[in-house]
Amino acid sequence: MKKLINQPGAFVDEVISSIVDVHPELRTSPASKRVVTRTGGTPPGQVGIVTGGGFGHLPLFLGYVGGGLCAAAAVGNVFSSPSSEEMLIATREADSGAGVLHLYGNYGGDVLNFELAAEDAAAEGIAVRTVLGTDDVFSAALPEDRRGVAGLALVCKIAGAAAARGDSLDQVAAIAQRAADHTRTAGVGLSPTYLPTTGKPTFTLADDEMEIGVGIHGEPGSERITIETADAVADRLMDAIFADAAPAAGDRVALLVNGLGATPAEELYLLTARARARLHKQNVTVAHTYVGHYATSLEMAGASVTVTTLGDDLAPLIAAPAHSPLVRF
Amino acid sequence: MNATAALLQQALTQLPGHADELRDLDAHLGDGDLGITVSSGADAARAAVAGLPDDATPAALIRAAGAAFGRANPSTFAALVHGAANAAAAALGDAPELGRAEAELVLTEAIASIAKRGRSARGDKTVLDALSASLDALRSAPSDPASALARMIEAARADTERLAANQSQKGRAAWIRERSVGHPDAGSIAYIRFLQALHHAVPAGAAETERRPS
Repeated sequence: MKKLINQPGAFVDEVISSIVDVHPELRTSPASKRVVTRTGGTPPGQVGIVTGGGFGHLPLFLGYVGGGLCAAAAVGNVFSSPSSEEMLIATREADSGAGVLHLYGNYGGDVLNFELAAEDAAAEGIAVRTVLGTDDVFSAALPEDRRGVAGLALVCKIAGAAAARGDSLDQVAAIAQRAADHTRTAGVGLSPTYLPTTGKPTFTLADDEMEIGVGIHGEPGSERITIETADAVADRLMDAIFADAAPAAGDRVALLVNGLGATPAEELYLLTARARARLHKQNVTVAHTYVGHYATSLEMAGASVTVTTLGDDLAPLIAAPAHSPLVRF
Repeated sequence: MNATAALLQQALTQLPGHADELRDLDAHLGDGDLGITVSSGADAARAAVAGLPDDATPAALIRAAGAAFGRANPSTFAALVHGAANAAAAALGDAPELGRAEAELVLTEAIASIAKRGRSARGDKTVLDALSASLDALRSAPSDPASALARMIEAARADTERLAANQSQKGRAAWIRERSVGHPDAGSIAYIRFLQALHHAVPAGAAETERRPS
C-alpha cells in the first residue's frame, strides 16, 4: 500500500503537531502531546466534554474539540487506546470547575483506561460522568454491547451545545445519554485499511465484494456480499436501522452520511439521496443532513449512515452553532 | 515515613529483580511484557510512595502506588492493578492503620475490581486465582503478619501450581488454547513474588519455605 508518511513510529505525533500548527484555535497540552484542547480552554463554569480513542479516524476525535463541541481529546497510537494518564490530563485540562463528561466509543481498551482516568480525576476532586457511543447496529444484538462509530459525531454535537448553553454536569450527561440512545448507525466496507506501522491490511476483500457492517477498525461485519448499486446498499443500511429502532411517522431526525476515508463525496451524495427518500417515505422529517468525512478509518473505502431521532429537547441543540476547524456542522 | 510506607517501599524494591523470570513466564502465554510492566511499575510505585507526606494514610499509599504502577507501562495487567488499587483505597477511606481487617478488605475489593474489569472469575487461570487463595488463607491465618503472609504465599502458590495444568481462559493466554496447558499464570506468579517481598520486609515470624513453582 502506498502512503505519504515519514517514520511510521512518528506518524501520530507529526500529524497532531501539524494540526495544531495550522489551526490556532487548537493546542496540545503542555503535559502531553497526545492531548488536544481548545486554545482558550473551557469557558469558566461550563461543563468540559472529553472524548478520545485510537488515532486514524480523523476528524474523529481531534475535530470534535471546539466551541459548542468538546473541550479536549486524548488520542493513542493508530487504532489503540490512549493511556489512562493521557485521559486524566485531558480531564484536568477540560475542567473549569463545572465537572467533565467523558464521551467516547464502546471499545474495551478505551473503557478500561477512561474508567481509571475518571476514578483518578474524582480522587482529585473533579466530578466526572460517562456516556458511551454504542450506535453500530451490526456489531451486537444488545445495545450496551455495541461499538461506537460515526454516531459519536452527532452525540458530541448535541452534548457540546448543552454544555455551551450552561447546563449542569448531570444535565449534559443526561442529554448525551438520550442522544446516544436515539442514535443508530449502519455501515459498509469496500476496501481495507493499511496500518502505517505494518503496511498490512486489516482485512481482505475480493474485487467484487463488500463487507456489510464493517467496524471502523476493520472489524468483521455481519455478511460479505457481491457489490451492489448505491441505492441497494443504502436500502440495506436503512433497513438495518429501521429494523432496530425505526423513527415513527412525524418524528424529526438528523441524518449523517459518513465516508470511511477513501470513498468520494459523489458516492456519499448518492447514498444520501436514497436514505432521505426512505425517511420521507416513512413520513419522517429530515431536519438536518450532514454529508462528508466525520469518522474515518485511514484509507478504508466505504460509508456509514447514521440516524438520530430528535425530540423537542435535542432539536435546538443540534441546530446550535459549533466551531471546529476540521468538521462542518 | 510511616511503617506501612516503609514496608511497601522495601517490598517494591525487590520486584524488579523478577523481571526476567516474569518476562519468560509471560512469553509462554502472552506477549512477554509482564516483566517490564512489573519492573517499571514497581520502580514508579516506589518513587510515588517516597513522594508522599509522612502522615499518608494506607489508602493514599495504595492509591498513589497503584496509579504509578498503572502508568509506568500501561498494559492490561497494569490497568487492572491500577483499578484494584483505586477500589481498595476507596474502601479503606481514612483508616489510619493497615491491620488484619483492612488487609482482608484490600484483597476483597481488589478481587472484585479485577473480576469486573477483566470480566473474569476464579478458576480462569488469572491473577484472581492467587489473590483469592491468599484471601482465603488470610481469613484463617494466625494474627502475626509474618505467619499470615507465609500462609498466604503457600496458598497462592498451591493454587497457581494446581491451575497450571488447566487451559487459560482469559487474555492473550486464552488465544493459544491447549498450548497454555502446563504453564503457570504469570500474573499469579507476579503477585506471589510481591507477597514474598512483603514477607521479607516484615519483622521475622514464620520461616519462609524456599519451594518455587516450576
